[in-house]
Amino acid sequence: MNLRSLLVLLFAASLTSELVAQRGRARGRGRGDAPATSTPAPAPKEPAKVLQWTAVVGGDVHIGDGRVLRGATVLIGDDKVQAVGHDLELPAGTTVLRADGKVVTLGYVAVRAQGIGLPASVTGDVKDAVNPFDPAIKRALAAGLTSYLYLTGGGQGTPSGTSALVKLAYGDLPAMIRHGQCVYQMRAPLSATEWRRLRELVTQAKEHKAKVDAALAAPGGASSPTPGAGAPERGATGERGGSQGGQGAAPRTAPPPSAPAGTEELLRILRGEARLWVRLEAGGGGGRGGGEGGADDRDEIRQALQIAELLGEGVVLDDPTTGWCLADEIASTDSMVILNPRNISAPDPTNPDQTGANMAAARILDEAGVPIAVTCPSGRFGGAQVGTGGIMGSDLNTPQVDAAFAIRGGLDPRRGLRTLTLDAARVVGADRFVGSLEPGKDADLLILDGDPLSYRTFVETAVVNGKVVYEKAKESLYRNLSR
Amino acid sequence: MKRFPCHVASLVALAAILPAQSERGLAIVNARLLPISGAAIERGTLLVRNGKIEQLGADVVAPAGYRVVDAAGGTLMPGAINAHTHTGLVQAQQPSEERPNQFRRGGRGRRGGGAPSGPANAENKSGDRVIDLLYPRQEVFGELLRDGVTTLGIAPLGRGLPGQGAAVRPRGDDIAAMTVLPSAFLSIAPVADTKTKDLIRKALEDGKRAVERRKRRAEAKPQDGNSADGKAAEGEKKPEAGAEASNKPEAEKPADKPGDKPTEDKPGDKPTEKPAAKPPEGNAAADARPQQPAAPDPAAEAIADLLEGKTRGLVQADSAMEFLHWAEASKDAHFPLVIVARRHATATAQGSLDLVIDKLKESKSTVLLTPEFGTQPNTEYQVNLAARLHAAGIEVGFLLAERGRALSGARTQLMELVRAGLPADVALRGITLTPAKVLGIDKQVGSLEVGKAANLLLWTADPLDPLARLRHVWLEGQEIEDDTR
Repeated sequence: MNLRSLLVLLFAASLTSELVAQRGRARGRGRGDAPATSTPAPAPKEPAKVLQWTAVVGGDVHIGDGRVLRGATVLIGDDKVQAVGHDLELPAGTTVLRADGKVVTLGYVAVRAQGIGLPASVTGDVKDAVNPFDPAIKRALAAGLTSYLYLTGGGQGTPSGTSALVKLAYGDLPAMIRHGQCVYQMRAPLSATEWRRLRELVTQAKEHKAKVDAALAAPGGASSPTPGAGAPERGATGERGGSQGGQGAAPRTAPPPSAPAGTEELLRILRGEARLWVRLEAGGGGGRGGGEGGADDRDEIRQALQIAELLGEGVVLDDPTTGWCLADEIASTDSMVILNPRNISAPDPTNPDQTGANMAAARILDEAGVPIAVTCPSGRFGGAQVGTGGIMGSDLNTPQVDAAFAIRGGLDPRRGLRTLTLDAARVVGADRFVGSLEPGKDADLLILDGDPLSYRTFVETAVVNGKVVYEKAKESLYRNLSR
Repeated sequence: MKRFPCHVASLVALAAILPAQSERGLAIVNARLLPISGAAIERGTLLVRNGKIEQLGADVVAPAGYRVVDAAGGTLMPGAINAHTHTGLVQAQQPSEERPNQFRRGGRGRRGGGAPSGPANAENKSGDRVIDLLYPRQEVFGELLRDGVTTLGIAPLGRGLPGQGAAVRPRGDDIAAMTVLPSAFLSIAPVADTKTKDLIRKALEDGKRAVERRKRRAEAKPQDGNSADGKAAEGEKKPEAGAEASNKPEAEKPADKPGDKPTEDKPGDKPTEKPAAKPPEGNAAADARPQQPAAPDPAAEAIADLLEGKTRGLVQADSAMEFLHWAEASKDAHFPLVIVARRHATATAQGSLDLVIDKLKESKSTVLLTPEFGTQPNTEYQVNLAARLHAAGIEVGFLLAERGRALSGARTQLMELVRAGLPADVALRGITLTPAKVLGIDKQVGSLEVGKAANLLLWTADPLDPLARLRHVWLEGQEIEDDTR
């Protein structure tokens, strides 16, 4: 027991330091890491009593930063990762999943997906509309996805929309909505009126936050230093965030001044409880993909970065075309980027070095220190679905191929998996729960039959929340295919 | 001959009670009897008297004076029962509109095409009785009866909690003549959306409070009951709900001060009737009065009946997903539960009910389903849901079509299910005794037992034999003519 907890701690320490001390870390206040309020890296929970131990044994474990532990073990306590390493002592009664000669990675996080266990539009709370038996869940698991961001609405002049981190916990209704309202969405560019309104709201929100923080910091203020830290776990999903006050974000102690109207979403963003996505609406171009239009969206990107500066929080740029031209500017605001390395568009011939999108975008952004989440193609040829029709490879069925295209464009191969795991989790505001093999995070794992980023690789077993939810050999999807 | 006077006496007595019944007995001889409640009798006789089964067995002899029907080796079984149908209700012709659901169609294509219009009309109408909405003389009833369906459980249309279902016989000039049991079950039609789930949660809470009120009343009652006259004693047993309802305004009060009422009541009014109990208590809680609802909430009372086990809840859930959402909304509420899967065969994108077989078993629910195969998602592999549920120890019953040749259609489907592993006796019980239990009328119908209604079907062969034809239908001893048979 002692040995194990020591190992756990050692591992936690080494991994956290590895993951946290990434390039670009020194800049600002630790980008991506939600500020003061985010739960401190979930430490191995000693007091929580583990009912079911599971261990994935013998595989080559890709721990997410490019390192591979050969023939290692991932120990899972109930639904959380407990430890990763060699020669771990397995508690009595551990269920062992053999992965000898196989590759073990984290499950992938889809930053953009639809039609998986949820209808396109939901009235009321998302968790009341979940279909945990949707066959699309199996298809998504077969693709290596273990969670995704459900996002509808938003895209106005202020942050709004309905979002949730959906876990692909097949058959497990309550487990499927892991975290509600982890993302709000707005658009850029904004009109002058919209800018004025946004500035007012941000000012009000910051003042309110300062007041609350002061109240909490005051002696005898609050015993719980992290208001709302536990709250978003359950519930707080559907509602438009509108009238009913910050989804449990308001401190419960003391006499809390009620949040000014319209600032609930902003407050959650400022507290690091939710991520702000900015949709870039290029003036003339329109849709991406297929090389048409939108060759230059630098103005929209700069407006989005201005929002980030106004907030003092990084934003997520949803599929910028010329993001690679502004990599340093994006990095300096702690912002992040969602892109598909295969979506390229021809540059403006009059300004070929500053327009268009190409395969190198991921490398350039990464080298500047911008976290990148890779998604499937969008626009004319793509679809963020795991459908059974259409053009193979243009949808969510092969996320590893999209990441591989980033590497083809020059991205450090060791950082390829991050675009589907840790950075994707940060982009969807859920890196507290998913995205890395840190002890205390959700045990969402894949056992693969080969290199994670190879087009030939299939998922053999998918584990979500510590439970096996997909086995290639048993599902009708791909069991006829062998490597 | 010896027993003749005895028969006369009983006839006279029964004729007074059942004046409509024919006086001449009926003997069906030379029949293979399928009692459902017990083993088949390969060659026997069944006697019908005054609409009821008088006797049956291998050694039974038809008494003189009985009209004799020679079954010629054909099979006699109880009439078919469809425990959950909207037959005779307006809109029954468009069941697809009834519960729009985002996931209804499996496979590819748009999910959630269009805003779900459903949740908006989910209401708690548990106090409403479908029997009050039913128009008796409809062609469809005769149609079903001629085909061998002798009892119907009419379920109200609607979402959420659409009301109380009724057990009826598909014959009669007015509702009273049709009614077997006016409030046979509470209909529950939940779906996966917040509004409906909240509606159900709230309704169950209201029901629990009504149960609490009843308990408090029952504690206070003994004193009243002893001294009260016949009216009170009579009211105590059966129309509990009715009595509750009429006395509800008083019952409301102690909700605020549970301790108050009994202590005040007991010494105050010993032999007087209820209304006298009011004034002193009213004074005590005068300030609280404005908040009290004036009349009892019939919806809450109906749900209280359910929670006390007096009726059964028929919950529509076609898929594993719908069952889980229902289970989540109804957590902690325990009552006799029946799952009704009217469209399980097309709801495979939400998971077949056998995916939650353990939870179904845990809930001790009976499952009523259409006698169809389901398919595994993404495949053409068929799922014999009925057989799987039965193998897991879950009681399975079958739903029949809303109209037309309902039993004939179900019979061929049942043959397929039996061919694919469903025991034949389960198939037949599933259209007779199981639905009778679901409707709470298994003391009256559902099997061939002495004293039960003579709802009988005579087939030329075993009902699951494809060559069998339906020769005779009797409803409570009366033969139903059918020129087309």
